[in-house]
Amino acid sequence: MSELVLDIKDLSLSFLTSGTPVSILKSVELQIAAGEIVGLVGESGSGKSVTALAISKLLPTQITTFSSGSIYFNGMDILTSSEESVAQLRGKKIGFVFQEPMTALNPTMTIGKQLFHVIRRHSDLSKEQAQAKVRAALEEVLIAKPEIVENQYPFQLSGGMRQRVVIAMAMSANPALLIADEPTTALDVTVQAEILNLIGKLAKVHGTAVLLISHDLGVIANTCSKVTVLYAGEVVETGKVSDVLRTPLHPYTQALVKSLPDIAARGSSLETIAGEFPDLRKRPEGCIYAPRCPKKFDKCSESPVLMKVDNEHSVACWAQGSRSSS
Amino acid sequence: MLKSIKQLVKNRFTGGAFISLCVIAFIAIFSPLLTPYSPIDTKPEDRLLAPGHLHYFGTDELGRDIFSRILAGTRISVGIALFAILLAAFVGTFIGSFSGFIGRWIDQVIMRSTDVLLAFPTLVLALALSAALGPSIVNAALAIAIVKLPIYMRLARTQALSISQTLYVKSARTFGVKSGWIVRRHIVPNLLTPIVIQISLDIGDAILLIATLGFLGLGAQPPTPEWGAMISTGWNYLIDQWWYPTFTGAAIFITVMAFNIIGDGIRDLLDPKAGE
Amino acid sequence: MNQDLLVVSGLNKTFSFKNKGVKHENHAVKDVSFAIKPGEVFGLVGESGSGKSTIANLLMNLESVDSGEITFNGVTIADSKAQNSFPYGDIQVVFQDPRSSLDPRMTIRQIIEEPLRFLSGAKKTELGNSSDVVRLIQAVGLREEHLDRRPHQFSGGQRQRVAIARALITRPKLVVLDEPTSALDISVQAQVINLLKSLQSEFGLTYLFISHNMGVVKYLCDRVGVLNQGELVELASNEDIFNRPTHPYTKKLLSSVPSMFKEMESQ
Repeated sequence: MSELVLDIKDLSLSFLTSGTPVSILKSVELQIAAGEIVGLVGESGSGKSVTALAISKLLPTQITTFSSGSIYFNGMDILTSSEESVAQLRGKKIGFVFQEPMTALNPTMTIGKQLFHVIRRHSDLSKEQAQAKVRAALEEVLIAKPEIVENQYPFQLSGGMRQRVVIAMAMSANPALLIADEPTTALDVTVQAEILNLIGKLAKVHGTAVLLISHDLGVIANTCSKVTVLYAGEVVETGKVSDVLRTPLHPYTQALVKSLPDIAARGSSLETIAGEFPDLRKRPEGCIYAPRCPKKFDKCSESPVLMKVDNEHSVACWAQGSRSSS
Repeated sequence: MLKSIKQLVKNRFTGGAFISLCVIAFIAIFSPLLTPYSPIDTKPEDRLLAPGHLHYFGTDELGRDIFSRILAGTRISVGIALFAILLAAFVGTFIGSFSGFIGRWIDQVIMRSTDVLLAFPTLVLALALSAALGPSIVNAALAIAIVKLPIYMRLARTQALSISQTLYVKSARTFGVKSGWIVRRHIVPNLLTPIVIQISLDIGDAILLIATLGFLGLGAQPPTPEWGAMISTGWNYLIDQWWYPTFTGAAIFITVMAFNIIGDGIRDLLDPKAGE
Repeated sequence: MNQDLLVVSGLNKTFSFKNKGVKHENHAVKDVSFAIKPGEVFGLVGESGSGKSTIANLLMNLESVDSGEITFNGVTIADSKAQNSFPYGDIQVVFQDPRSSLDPRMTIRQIIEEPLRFLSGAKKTELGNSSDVVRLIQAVGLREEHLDRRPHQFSGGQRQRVAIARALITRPKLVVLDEPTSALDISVQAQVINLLKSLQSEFGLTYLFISHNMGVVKYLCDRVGVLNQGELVELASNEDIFNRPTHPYTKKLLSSVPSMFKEMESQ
């Protein structure tokens, strides 16, 4: 097994919202090796974007409290490192791609100039070398006419082209980790397919570890090798995509897969999840999913830990744990 | 509402301003009952007395109690300022939201006319208007309302433009809703927040404008106890009878400060981007 | 013989705008024709710029038709001559984003009742003081006490339920669903889709379902039209579109959809 680029262990954090601490993440575990694409899936409020921001220490410090855990990036503990040393990593060792490419681009600067500045900042290349690298970076993200795009402004490009440029910027310093937070949610499906292919290809060529955050199980299934399912800030299931999505073990993952209309027979009604998303100001004792779970029993009043079902498939559910141990 | 007041009082500045405003409002409402002397009747034998236990702020050149005149003037200054600003806000919101919602050439005409009004400095325009209308307190109020009108028109129009694009306005149009209803029920209620903030920021300014007009003889006419007019006559006596203009000036200063601080406080309170 | 509820024939719409003094034309809808039978769910799919939103706006009388004709229940409701009386209340719409489709200053009761005030003709006397509000709020899975709350107190899924109740208050024959689940989480999307299905049979509704989500369209629609850059490139039954697509664009669209099960089948 290759070396871990990212290793998140037992990460718990809370936000202070109008005076009361709200528990956002609880005991999150996540590992990504070089060249691996790991999906992080969950619904709104599940804490998937918070996890991404925590990795690069981008959470607002005044309201964030880390109550436990550590985040190792290439062996360096991010949480105990100084702000300057983490700032060094951002953009250079950790690249970002967000949902809305326009927010990552400067609307008053041409694409070529922006890329040029990014490349110069993260390398010691001369002006001429950096200029050449701009062209190469655009070619690498499969932009057909880089010499034209270079001189264009972001508003002149389509959403898909903008996202390609953002990916080129993120990859230009050859980062060890690429964090892609819903990178295709704002794009059309045909463009989405191209962008996902591109991310997969770049990860393979450069050996980049990729954290792909998405709410779309289909996107995860087509792009990632492993997936971690978050519910209300807790990892409920993690493992190989084929295992987790084909034979989900956690009742939440099962319900999520069955609630997709894609496979449901027409005429049958879709499976839904009973009840409401929990109030994180008072995180319920025991299993976070128990209040909505059809399979809950006495044991669920205790918090389950992630239990290995087989080598790579883990699930935080007593019903599964007792089955595998018995 | 109660929660917002609590939040205002929590801060030392806005809390102080809030209490001052309560006192000012109390004085404005009950001034006839609070004044120890008539603010209008002259008493030449008591002219220009220094402050003492009979006359807290002394007397003016006609023997009137300055304390009584300041109390009576509160109602005039604050009342006229409120009237002028509310008039401007009401008319401006109405015209501005229709202008933004309907658009086309009507919008162009209305916006160009606000450009004309905004091209003049506020004070110069207010002076010219009240001079043209003739010196009186009502005309001063009208002049201030007209000067302040374009701000509200523009504010309401900008808001109306963005609210017109919302899905709830689009939905309403799919029911066959008439424009008047959309403006009244959807647009105006949703643009009130910035208008209220603007009102609270403008009142202090309006009090100052009224005092300025009064000082220049274009506002309230004697013997009305208006602060600006009082300073206008009082400043001749500044060297020997310092109390005459000083206390009046302090009244203007405190009132304007209180309104401005509260205005900022309300803006922070209502503006979602400023909070949290 | 089943008469069509809505017939769209030869619909065209062009937007023109000026950019740096040069006049541009955007032919948003090109000669689109289709018909919807009573009681069916008709899907319109396409990507951004396909013209599907423009078609919805034309159907809802929010834009004027350049050429072509829309007839509803045998009556022309839109053509190039304009001045048709639009059957407000008979065609209702549910938009994509429930965060912005409800006026934040109104109570849920005011929101649901709003369309009733602008009915005309027989509907006005029949529904003018409707007591349906309570029945409808329950039909969409909310409770009577919710009526006096305001939108910000509800989740996205609950707001979409309110928007659906508002659409149904006028007892429409046709409901245009413009990406009604695109802004919702997967599990909430499932709830709303189930609700739409049960409401359809309860109230005998006809749906025009506009979406880019092929999974939802496949699950919900009887017939599907595929739009590409303003043109209707393929129109067929659900079966045929998803199993035997003929137009290259339809094929490309279907192959682009990242389905978790396509991946698994290939493994």
